[in-house]
Amino acid sequence: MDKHVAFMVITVFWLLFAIIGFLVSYRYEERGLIRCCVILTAVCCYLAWMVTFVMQLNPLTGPRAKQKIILGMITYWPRSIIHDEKDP
Amino acid sequence: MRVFKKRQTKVKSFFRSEDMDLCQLLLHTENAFDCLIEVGHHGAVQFNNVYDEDRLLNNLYSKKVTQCYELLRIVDSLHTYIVQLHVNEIFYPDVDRENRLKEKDLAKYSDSLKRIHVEASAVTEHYYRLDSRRNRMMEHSFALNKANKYMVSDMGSELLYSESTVIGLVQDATTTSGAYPAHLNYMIGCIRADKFYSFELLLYRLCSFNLIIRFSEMPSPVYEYHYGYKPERVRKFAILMMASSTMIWPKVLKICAHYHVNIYDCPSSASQREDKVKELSQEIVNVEKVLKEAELMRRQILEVAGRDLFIIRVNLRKALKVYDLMNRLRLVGGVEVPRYLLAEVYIPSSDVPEVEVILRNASRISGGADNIDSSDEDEMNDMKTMPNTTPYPIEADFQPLEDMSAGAILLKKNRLVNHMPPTYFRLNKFTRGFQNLIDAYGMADYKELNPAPYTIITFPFLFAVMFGDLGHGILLILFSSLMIWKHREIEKYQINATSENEILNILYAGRYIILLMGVFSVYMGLVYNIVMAKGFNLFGSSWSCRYNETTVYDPAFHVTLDSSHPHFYSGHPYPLGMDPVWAVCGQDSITTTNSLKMKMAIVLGISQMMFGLGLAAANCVLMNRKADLILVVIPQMIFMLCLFGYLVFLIFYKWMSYGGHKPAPYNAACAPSVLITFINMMLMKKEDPVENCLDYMYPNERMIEFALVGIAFCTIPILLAGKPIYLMRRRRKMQQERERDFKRMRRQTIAEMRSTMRYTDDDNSETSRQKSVDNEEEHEMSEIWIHSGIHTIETVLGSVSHTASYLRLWALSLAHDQLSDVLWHMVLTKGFANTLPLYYGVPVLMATFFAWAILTVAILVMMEGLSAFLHTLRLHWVEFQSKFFGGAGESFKAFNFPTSNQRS
Repeated sequence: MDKHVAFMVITVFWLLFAIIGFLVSYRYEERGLIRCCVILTAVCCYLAWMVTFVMQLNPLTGPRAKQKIILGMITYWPRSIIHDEKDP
Repeated sequence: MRVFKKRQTKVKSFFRSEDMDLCQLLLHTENAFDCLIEVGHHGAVQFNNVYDEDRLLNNLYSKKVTQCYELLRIVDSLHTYIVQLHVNEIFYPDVDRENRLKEKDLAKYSDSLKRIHVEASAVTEHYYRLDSRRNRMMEHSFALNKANKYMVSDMGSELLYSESTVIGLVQDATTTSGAYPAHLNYMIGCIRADKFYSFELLLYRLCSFNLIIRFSEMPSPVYEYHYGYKPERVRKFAILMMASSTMIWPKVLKICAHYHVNIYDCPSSASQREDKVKELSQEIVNVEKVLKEAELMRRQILEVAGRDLFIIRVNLRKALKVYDLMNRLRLVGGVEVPRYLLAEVYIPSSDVPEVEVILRNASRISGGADNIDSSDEDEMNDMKTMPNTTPYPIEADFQPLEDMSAGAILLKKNRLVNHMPPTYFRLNKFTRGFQNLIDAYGMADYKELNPAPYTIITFPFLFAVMFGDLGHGILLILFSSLMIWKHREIEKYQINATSENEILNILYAGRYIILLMGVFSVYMGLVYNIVMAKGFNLFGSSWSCRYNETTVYDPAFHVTLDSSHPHFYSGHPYPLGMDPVWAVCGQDSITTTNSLKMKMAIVLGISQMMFGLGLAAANCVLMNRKADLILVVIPQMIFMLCLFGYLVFLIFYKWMSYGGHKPAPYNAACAPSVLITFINMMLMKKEDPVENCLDYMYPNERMIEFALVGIAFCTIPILLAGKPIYLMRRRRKMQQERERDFKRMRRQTIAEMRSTMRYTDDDNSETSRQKSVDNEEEHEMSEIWIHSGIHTIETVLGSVSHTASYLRLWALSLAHDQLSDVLWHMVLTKGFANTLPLYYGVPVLMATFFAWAILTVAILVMMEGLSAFLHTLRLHWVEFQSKFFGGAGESFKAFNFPTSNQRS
């Protein structure tokens, strides 16, 4: 999935979560408490996701794998293939 | 309009403590008891200063208190009898509603309790006497049987064992030739088994071989009854003592009396002994019949007592509490006989009308009226409004109330008090668990911001950062959902249980906390991409392996995927959480996940601390402490933002700017360490750049860092000296104003002498202002400077240590992950990988699965969960709440009767 699309989808999701929760809270007497919980949930979960996402955006080093792992990835993951070109 | 105001009141209630009204409660002695019973059931009134150690009692109700203690002692005595006979004591779960106590019921309780107690005691004494008599006859019969058997069968062989008897007989033979053999004297009795050996030893030392003792144990223990003690089951020995001379019997009898030996009569001939045994057996049978009837009667009386004993006990305890409280209230009123009790109480403002209604109803019921008449109610409303609107003298207030059975009066006080009101939060079953976490640290001050609403989300979230695993989170959700679903059965079990289950109580009280912990653990399991130590691949990994055939099938093939080549990294990260490649390639994943979790801990920790400082600012605004806001909180925020906010910026900037696939100088080789950069910033040091790399992360980095450090250090003297200087200047200003007020007061005194009985509002305002000044002067300036110094040191050093303290989020997360991995690879994988035949392999796999499952629940969910819980608690108590929470308040201790249960 494209990084911009992924970022936009998750951001809009938590933003809508907060906004819809804020609006739904008007129907209840404890709206202050519900509002506080909804906004804190959105902020905490978004922050945890964003740290993970941004950390993987520009990796400095890649993982190191053995032959068995490489063969497993080639077998099960569609983007891993064996080609005929020269290796770098 | 009223509905909207009511909702607004409820909306505000939980974030700060409830408004408290200081009231005076005036009770008439005739119905004070019933009013206080209703107040105790409602549980919204706190009586001030009545339980102090130096409180003087009015002694009007000391006799009543003593009477209640006496009746409770009778109840305990009856309960003891009931427990002895295993009679069923009926338990009423709704005793607080259906059997509510009134003062006139106490006389009824007293009469019925005393009557039942007299009957039960008499029947019990009668039973005990009969049982003792039966026991003595049984002992007598047994002793006679044993003695008879012994004498008849072994009479001849006795001569062989008695040296002195033989000598005696020899002497008799020499003096009178042909005389009969000497007649042996004997005695039978019963002794306790535990005393027999010392008894035997003593007799041997005293009489040597002149006395022969034979003993035999009775087949079953018997009860002994002593006044004031519980019946005791003791083992008994029947003893037979024989002597050749009658001279030693007086000594033996004294020793027998000392050892409480029961001496029984023994006929001299065998036929008489047998007749005696038969007679005793017949008598025992008769006594047992009477005993059975006595037991039935006793049981009937105790069953009647047990029918109401629970209600009486619960209500007597309430009456004792109420009379003790009434004994501590102040007496006011009449000239000769005081007729009113006066108390100072705190009531939540929103509960004041309800308390007034309760007091009015209690007064009416105490007067004998059971029905509410609308005309009476309207009249009461008219009378109630008069004391608030028109300032009548006290006599005028009391006069009309006597006509209406002397109802209770609740008046609000408006004067200033030095004492801070108590703190009260209106909670429900969801919020009570979180409030208990905060109250365990300290009770909030009156009107101080309550951390509990924010803890509802941040506590489970930080727990999940440490505990994050999708499978373990689901286990927590299932457990807490079971407790929430079965809450009615659990509450019923708690009420009816005869012994308290503390672990169940704690888990039940925190069931909503556990539910949220589970939900957030599931979310963090998605972010960490962990479910029971294994990852999952929902969106397709961003990493791939694209090699040719020669490279892949090389046996020495061992490669690091190059992050700068599009064949290996697509440039678009995994959309939700960690990439599954890190779960597959185990060797390097710990380095990457450590880096992620450390930085996440720092980011979350600093965010929470800044949130805490924001709450401190809100607290200062709400409490109207502008000096604290400007001189303490804002410098703290600037300090934190300039140093640790910059640290967070560095973390994100490095992630965004540097990458393995970017050209120099932004590639992996040139990426600086955030920690070293931060340390160099603090030390104002500069390092030589690496070859082909820049010496800064962004233009003008050094200048900005120096500026930030300078600003941060400029806030320290503001923190240290700002508030003390402000207080000094304010105190000086107050002193000048007081001098001017003193002059004006002197002038006003002269004016007051000319025109008497004159009051102005200025006097009140000056008095109140003077009182507030007196409050502040309680602290000396040296104390204020010391406190400010300590606070400054705590702020500066605390910011560093608290930031480091949040790294425990990473440490516990790493521990949880590695333990989960160990269980998987060391336990369950061995079951999967076993190469045994099928009929051996399947049981082995089942055994390893059960071992893995039990260890997962016991170690990873319970022990690791408890560890993460405690560390989260510390992060909230110390790192978060130290930013804004004083926690020096007193809790609202309402006069309240606890819910009755089986143990009460």
